[in-house]
Formats: sequence, structure tokens, C-alpha cells
Amino acid sequence: MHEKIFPIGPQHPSLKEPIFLKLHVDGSYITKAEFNLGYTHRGVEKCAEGYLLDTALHAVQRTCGICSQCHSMAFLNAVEPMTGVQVPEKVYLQRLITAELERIHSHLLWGGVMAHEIGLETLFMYYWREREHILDIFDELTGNRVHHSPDLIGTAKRSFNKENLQMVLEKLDLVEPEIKELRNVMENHDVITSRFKKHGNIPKKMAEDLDLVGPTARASGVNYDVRQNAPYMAYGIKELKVKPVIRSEGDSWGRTMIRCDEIFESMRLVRKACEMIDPNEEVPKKKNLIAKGDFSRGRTEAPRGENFHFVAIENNRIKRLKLRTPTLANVISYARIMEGEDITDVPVIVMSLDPCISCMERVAVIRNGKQENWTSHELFEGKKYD
Amino acid sequence: MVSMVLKVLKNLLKRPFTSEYPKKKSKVSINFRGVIHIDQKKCISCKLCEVNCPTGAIIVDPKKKYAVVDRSLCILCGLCAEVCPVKVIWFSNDYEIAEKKKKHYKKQLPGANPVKK
Ligand code: SF4
Ligand code: SF4
Repeated sequence: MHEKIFPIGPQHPSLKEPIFLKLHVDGSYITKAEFNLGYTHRGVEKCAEGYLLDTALHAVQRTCGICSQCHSMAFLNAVEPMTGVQVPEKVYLQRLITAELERIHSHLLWGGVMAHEIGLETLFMYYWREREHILDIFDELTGNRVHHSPDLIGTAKRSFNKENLQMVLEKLDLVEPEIKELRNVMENHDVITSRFKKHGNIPKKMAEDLDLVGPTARASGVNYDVRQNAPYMAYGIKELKVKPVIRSEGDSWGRTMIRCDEIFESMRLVRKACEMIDPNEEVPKKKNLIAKGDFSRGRTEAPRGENFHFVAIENNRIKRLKLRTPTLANVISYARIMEGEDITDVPVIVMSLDPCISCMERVAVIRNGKQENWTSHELFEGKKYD
Repeated sequence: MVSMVLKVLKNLLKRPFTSEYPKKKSKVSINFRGVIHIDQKKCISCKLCEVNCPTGAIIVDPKKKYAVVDRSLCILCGLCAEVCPVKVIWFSNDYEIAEKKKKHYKKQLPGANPVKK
């Protein structure tokens, strides 16, 4: 049989966001995969140039709807040390609670989309029903269900009171048994195991070579989590040390189970932080701060992996902002892991990396004035992994 | 497979989680940031909200000397309410903020009675 080209995207029913996959197929087997980005560039970085610090903080939070708190924390990690502001522990704990709830919400959302991808619509609905409880918590704690914006530089907009913390704990107690059941369904469902196991392999060596991040790397046995390796904010407190979940499979199955398990670790952290927080303490008032120094950087562990912000400041305004979201680090592995797979497994492999395309769109390969596809040959320089 | 069947059977006996939206309004928390309101009589036109707004939604009208907001640009971040020195900006709990025509977003909503939070 001779080779044919099978294009998927940029608009396709199985893709939630625009990415172009150009698959060279022989029968139904993929012999070579290329992909291309650049369909939804939004320009948050350019937009933030010239903004005041607080304004820029509210702009960068809009980078991603699912992990907006992690973007906010990465920006604060960069800017707060420059202003020299003393941040009380309560504010740090509040940020941790929001960030960890966000991780739970993100993984539940992903679980639902994954179930939808393989045609299990009922399971999709169950996942999103549990997610709704977490969104209710956000509504109560921060005032918005998706883009929460609870932070100000050095402080927070509101202080969590006793009823808020009570509600968090009640809702967690409500969803935990349900999520356990959903994990059980995922683990024992024949359709899921047969389509996930041994598909989309990322060996440990490849994950290390490509600097993959987050659950995708941890599913290949790489022990790397920013919360553990470079603790920031409340993650530095002894009781809130993170125990990352590591698996060795490196296939779609490993990446699925790792996300199911991370939810419980996040729940532990939220419960612990709720215990430690003092409900009667008030957060400080917003101050006008002057940033000293030229540039700084901040990192956080977002639900999908490491989130990196570089901030250059001039006259207390943003001069240059550079973001690198976790999906950009992970998505380059597409070019390799699809090779040798059946075309029906493509949706599962695409979703197993939990791609968040719209918040990553900052890179395009342009050669001689023409946009080119990302190919396995260029990205891997002919390296072999098994 | 068995676990999925059990889960479905269990859910068959439960009441529906969803509600019939237009007939029955869903409840939001008291902290929810819905429609933005400005008490324009009390505004001292200091322009702090205008300088801080990330999208340029709120500006001080040069003729009328008070802040006006274009709700189609506002991303409901709440920063203007934080920086306002006389605290005349507030958010109501109304979440039905879509309008039929673009110009309706420019209409200023009365904003005299902020809810105590
Ligand atoms: S809420 Fe945010 S976007 Fe809306 S007017 Fe106020 S500062 Fe501007
Ligand atoms: S910050 Fe408050 S007082 Fe100042 S212009 Fe805006 S609404 Fe008016």
C-alpha cells in the first residue's frame, strides 16, 4: 500500500482546540506525524506591556481559564520579591487552597473530556457533575467560577472566614467518595484499559531529553514537581510538603491514572491548609508598592506542569513579559508518540497529554517567510527510544 | 465494566442534578461578581479605576466628570472596586449579563445600593 496523508484539524470534532495534525498513514497505521500551531495566538504578553503591576496581574490570569490561579501565582512569585512586600501566611495558604482546588477541577474536567473522547458520554457527565461542586467552592471563596482573580500584590481581595472553610471541607467530603468511584470505573473499564494500555509510549529517556513537565513526565517515571523541587509560597511549610505521584508506565494509561491519583493528594493539601488557616485573621489592605530591580522570574506547578513567567520591569510598569505554559513543553512529543499507532487511537493520545492549546500558542516555525510544520525529524534529530 | 453498570444503576435512583434553567434560577454565592455598578453621584473622578483597568472598560467621562463603564469590555476582575478610594464601584449577584445589542452594554445601570458583603 502506498502512503496517504490524513489531516486532522485545525477544526475537528474530536479536538476541543485548534491544532493541525498531519498524519502520514499506511492503511490505518501512522508512519509519520507532523503538527502545526499558530491558529489562536492571543498576545497576552504584548497586551501586558506598559501595564501597572496590579493590572498586569489581572491580565496574566486570563491566559488560561482552567489554571488562572497558577498563572497568577507564577507572576506573583516573580514580582513580590522585587517589591519587598511581607506577605502574611494566611494569604499564602489562601492561594494554596485556590490553586489545589484548581488542580482538582482541572483533572476532573480532563477526566470528563477523556471519557467523551472514547465515547463514554455518561462517564463524562459524572465527571463534570463532581466538577460543578468545586466550581461552587470557587464562587464562594473568590467570587468567580472560572477566572477567579482573588489576588493582589502582597495580599488578597478577601479573607476566607469560618463559613467558607466549613463549606470547602463539606464539599470535599461530598465529592471524595464519588471521585473514588469514578477512579474505580476508569481502572476497571475494559474499553478504557484496552484503548489506553501500551498506546502513546513515552520512555523515561525521551521525557528527560524533551524536558517534559507535569503529570506527563511523572507518568514516565521522572520525579519532577516544582512544588517539591523548588517549593514556593505555602508549599515550603513542613506540613504542606507535596508527595508527587510517580508512575513508570509512560503510556496513555499511566497518564490517566496519575491524574486520578493527584486529585487525592490535592484534597489532602486543601484539608491540611484549611486546618492551618486562622479564620479570624484579616488580610492586609492593598498597598502601593514600588518594584526594585530590572527583571525576575517565577515558576509554579500548574495542573499540566511547570508554568514559567519572566517579568522585566521599568518605572514600575511591565517592560516585557514572557510566559511558557506547560502544554508547549509537552506537545512537542506528539510528533514521535503517534508513529506506529493506529489512527483510531489518535484522539486518546492527543487528550492523554491534557493539551491546553489556546494558552500555549506563542511559537511558530517560520522558514524563508513560510510557516512550517513541526516534524519528528527536526525535534528529535533522529534519536531512537524504546 | 461492572463498576460502570453499578454506578449507572446507583445514579438512576438519584434525583437529577441539573435544574430547568430559565424556569428555575440557580443560586450563586453572595461574593459572586456579576454585573458591575457605579454610584456615579459619589464618584470623585480621581481616574484611579481608569488607570488600573486591564481592558480600558472603565473611563472617567470628561464632560460629565464621573466614571462610566462599557460592560462589553469588562472582564469582571474586580480591580477597579479595590482601587477606588471612595468605594463606589460594586458588583451585584446578577449573572444574566448578556445584552441583545452591543450599544446596550454602554447603558449605565443605577448603582446606589451596594449589597453588604
Ligand atoms: S472589573 Fe476589571 S475589567 Fe471591569 S471595569 Fe473594573 S477593572 Fe475594568
Ligand atoms: S476610582 Fe472611584 S472615585 Fe475614582 S474615578 Fe473611579 S469610580 Fe470615581
